[in-house]
Amino acid sequence: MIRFTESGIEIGGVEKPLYSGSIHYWRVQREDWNKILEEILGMGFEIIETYIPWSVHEYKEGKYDFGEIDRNKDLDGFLSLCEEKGLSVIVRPGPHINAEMTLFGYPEWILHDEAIQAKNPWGTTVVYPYVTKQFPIPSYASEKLYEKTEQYFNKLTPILRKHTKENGCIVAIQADNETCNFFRDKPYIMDYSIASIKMYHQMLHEKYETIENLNYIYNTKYLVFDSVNAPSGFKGEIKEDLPYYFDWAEYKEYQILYALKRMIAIVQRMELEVPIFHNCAYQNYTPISVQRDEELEGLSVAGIDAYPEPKDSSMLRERIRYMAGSSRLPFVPEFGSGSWFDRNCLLTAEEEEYGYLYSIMNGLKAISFYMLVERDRWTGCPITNDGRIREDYYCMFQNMLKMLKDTKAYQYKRTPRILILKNYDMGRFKAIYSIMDTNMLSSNCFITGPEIPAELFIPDTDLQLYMDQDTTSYASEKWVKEVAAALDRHYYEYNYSDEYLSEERREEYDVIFAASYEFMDEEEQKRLVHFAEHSGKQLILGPHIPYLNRNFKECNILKKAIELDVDHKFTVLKDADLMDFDALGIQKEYTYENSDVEISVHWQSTGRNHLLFIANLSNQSQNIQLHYTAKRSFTNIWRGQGCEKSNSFEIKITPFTVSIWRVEMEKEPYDKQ
Amino acid sequence: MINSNILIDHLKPENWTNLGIILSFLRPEEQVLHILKTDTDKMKAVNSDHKKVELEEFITLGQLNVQGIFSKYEKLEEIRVYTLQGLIDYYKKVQEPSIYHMDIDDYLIYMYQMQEEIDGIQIYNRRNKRRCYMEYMQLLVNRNKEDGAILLWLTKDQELFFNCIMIFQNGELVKLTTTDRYQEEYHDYDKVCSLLNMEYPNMVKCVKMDVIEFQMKTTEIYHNQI
Repeated sequence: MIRFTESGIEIGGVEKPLYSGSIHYWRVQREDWNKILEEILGMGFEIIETYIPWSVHEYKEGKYDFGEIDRNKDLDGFLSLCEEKGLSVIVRPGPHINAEMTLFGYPEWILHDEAIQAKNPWGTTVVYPYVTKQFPIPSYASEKLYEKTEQYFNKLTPILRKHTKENGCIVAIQADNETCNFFRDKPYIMDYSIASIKMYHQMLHEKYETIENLNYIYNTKYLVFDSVNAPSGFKGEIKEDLPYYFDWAEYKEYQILYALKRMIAIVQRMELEVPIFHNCAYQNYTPISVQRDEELEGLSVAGIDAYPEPKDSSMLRERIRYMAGSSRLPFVPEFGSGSWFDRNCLLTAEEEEYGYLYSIMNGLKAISFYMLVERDRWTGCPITNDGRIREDYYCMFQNMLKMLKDTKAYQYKRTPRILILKNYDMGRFKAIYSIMDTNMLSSNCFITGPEIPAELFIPDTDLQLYMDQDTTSYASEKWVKEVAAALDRHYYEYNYSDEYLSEERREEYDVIFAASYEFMDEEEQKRLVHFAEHSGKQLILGPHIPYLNRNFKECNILKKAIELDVDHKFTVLKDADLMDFDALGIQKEYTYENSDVEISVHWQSTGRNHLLFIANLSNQSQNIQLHYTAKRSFTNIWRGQGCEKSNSFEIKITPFTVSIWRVEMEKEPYDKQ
Repeated sequence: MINSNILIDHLKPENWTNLGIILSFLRPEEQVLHILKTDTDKMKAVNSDHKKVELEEFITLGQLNVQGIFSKYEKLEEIRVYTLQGLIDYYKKVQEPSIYHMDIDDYLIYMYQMQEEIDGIQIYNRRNKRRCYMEYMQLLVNRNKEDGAILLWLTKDQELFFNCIMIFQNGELVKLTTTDRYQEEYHDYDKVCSLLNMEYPNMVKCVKMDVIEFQMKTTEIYHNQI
C-alpha cells in the first residue's frame, strides 16, 4: 500500500519524505543511465521522476517503440535499472507533458486532427507559438482526445504494471500535466469548438436544471439551453448582466476539471495501485483550484509548480503559503532546478538553495526538483546530459538533502493561527471584464510576437460595483496585499486559501481575514458566519460587506450577522494600517524587530521542541535578536551564526540565506518531578 | 530557418545565464503605443509599459496626429491602431491551419506582416524594422543561411561572458550549443575554433567581440534601418 500523507509518502507502512528529482531517460544515452543514476543516488535521492512522452513512444500513428528500435526508449529497462538500484520512481505519462518538446509530447497527428483541436471565438484554432514550432492547442472537450490517449496508455499499462506492487519501483503517477489550456487561462481565448460549446450547454443545464431558472437569473427568454450563445467578450451594461459572463468563466473551470477527471479515470483503469496526483502550472485563481482538483475522485493531491526568479521571496511566500493553507500535501511537483534554455537567466546553486529552503520554511512538504539531469533544451542541473557533475549544484543538493533527512524536517509542522482567504470571485470578475482576449503570440524570451496589452480591452462600463485596482492580474487583490503586508510588519505568520477551503480546514485557525466585496456566494457567506460563531474565532472582513449573492440578487447574510454581533467576533476592515493586531491575542514564540528577516517555527508533533527557520530576504548581512520567555537551547543545523544570551538569541545571517536551528526547551521544574 | 527538431544542449550555466542580456540587445521591439479604435470612433491608448496614454491632444476631427505623438514621445518606435474587427480578422488569420507547416521564425515574421496587411490595423513606424532576432544575428555575424557552424564568443572585461555555437544544415538551424561540449577547452577560443574547424572543415565562422561592441553593432544595425 502506497499513499500520500500530510507530510510525505507512505510506502509499505513507512512514511518517508517526498524529495524527488527529474531525469528524462529517452534524452540520455542508455549507456549513461547507470552512471547518472549512481550520481543521483550520490546526492541522497531515493525517489526520481520521469515523464513518459507519447510522441516519443508512438513515433508514427499505431507504431510504438519501447526500446526495440531506439535503446534510449526502453522504459522497461530503465525502470528495471531503477529497481536494481533501490530507487523509487514517480511516472508522468501526460498526455500533456511540455518538457520543452516541440509539440509538448503530443504526436503531430493528434494535434493536427481537427476533431481534437480547440477553437478561438472566430472559428480557427488556438495556436501556441513554441520556440521550435507553433502548434494548435487540443480541446479538453474532444472525446477523440481521450480515446486516443487511452489507446496510448493501454500500451504503457503492461510495462508500468510490471513495476508496481510487490518490489516495483513506481510509487506515484501524475494525471496529465499543468492542465490549463496550455497557459491560455483568459476566458475568451478559447474554447469555442463544437464539442466545447456542447459541454458549455451541459454545464448550464446541470447548474440551472431548467431553462426557466436560467432565464430568471439571466433575465432572458431562452427556450432551450442549446440556444445560449457563448460570450466572446464582455458586453454587459448593468451588474445583473454579470451571471451570464461568470458562467462562462466557471465553464472554463468546469472544462479543466472535466479533463482532469477523464485523465484520472484513464489512469485508474490502468490498475497500478499507486496514488494519483496532479500539478497545476502556477495559478491559484480562475480557472484553476487546488481544492476542487483534490475533490475529484481518485486524485490524492494537487500541487502547484514553482520556477522562482533569482532571490525571489514574494512569489514563493504567496504560493507556498497558499498550498500550505489549501492542499492535503503542500507539494511542488516541479520546483525549478536549472531552467529551460530560453529563459532570461539561470539561478546559481546558492539562489536555488535559498528558494528551496525558503519554501520549506513556509510550509512546503513534498518537492520534486525539475530537473536533476540536463537534457535537450534544459540546463543548470547538478548532472550534465553526459554524466558529468556540476559541482556547485551537486554539492548543494547533497548537503541540503542530508540536512533535511538528518533533521527529519518534514515531520515538524508550521501552525500559523491566521488565514487569509482570497476572493476567488474577484479573479473571475476581472477575468470576464474584458472586451476580448487575445491569444499570446510570444513564448519565453526567444519568440516575441506582437502582443497587445490587456488593459486596452477593459470596458468603460460603469457596473456600479467595486473592482479591485489591479484589473489584469486575476490573482492579486489590493486588500489582501495590504493585510498580508500589515501582518508581515507585525511579524505574524499566516496561510492563504480561498472560498473553496473546507470548513474543517478553516477551523485550524483562530483568525480569518476574508476578502469580501459587494457580492458573495450565499453559501460562502454562511460558511464565514459559521466560522465566526465558533468559540475563540474572529472574522475580519473587507474592503466591502456583501449585499448581493453571486446571481447579483440581494443577499445580506454577513451584513445581518455583523449587525447582530455583540461579542466582537466580526471586524470590518477598510484600512489594514488601522488594525490593532495586538487585539487579536495571538501569542508569538519569538519577538524581534527587523523587516528584512522572516522567521518561522515548525513544531514537533508533541511537546514544545521545534525547528526555527530564519530567512534573510535582503542583499545585506543581518543581525537579529530574538526574544523569548521560556528557557531553551539552540543548535545550529544550517547556516547562520548565533549567540545565546539571557532570554534572547542573537543571530548573524548572510544575504538571501535561510538559517535553521533546532530548539530544545528546558524542562520546567514541575516536569522533572 | 529554425528546424523544429533542433537539438539544444551543453549550455554552460555560468555563461548561458547571460542569454537574457544578449537577447535584449537583439530584441527589435522597443516602445510601442497600442490604440484601440471603437465602433463609435473613440480611441483608447496603452503603451508597452501597460500605462494609459491620453490622446485628446492628438485627435482632430476624428483624425489621429501620428507625427505629433512621435514628436512628443521620443522613445516611441511604433504606433499600432486597431479596430475590433481588424483584431478579429487578424487573430483568425494567424491561427489558420495553413501556418502549421511554417518554421517558427517564418511564423514570427508572418505574424508581424499580417498585422501590417490586414484592414482594420494600421502600423506606424519610425523605420522599417526587422522583426526577428535571427535576422539581426545573421547581419551581425555577416553570414546567411550557409551550412556549417557559427561561433559567437562575447567577452566582458576580457573574461568570457557568453558563447554559443549555431550549426546550420540545409539552410536550417539544427543545433544550438556552447563550448561546454568541449569540456576542458571551454575557455580557449582558439582551441574551440580549431576543434570546430576539424568538425566542419571550411564551414566555420568564428566571431569574437566584447559585449559592449556587440551591443553597439546591434544598435547600429537597428538604427540604420530606413
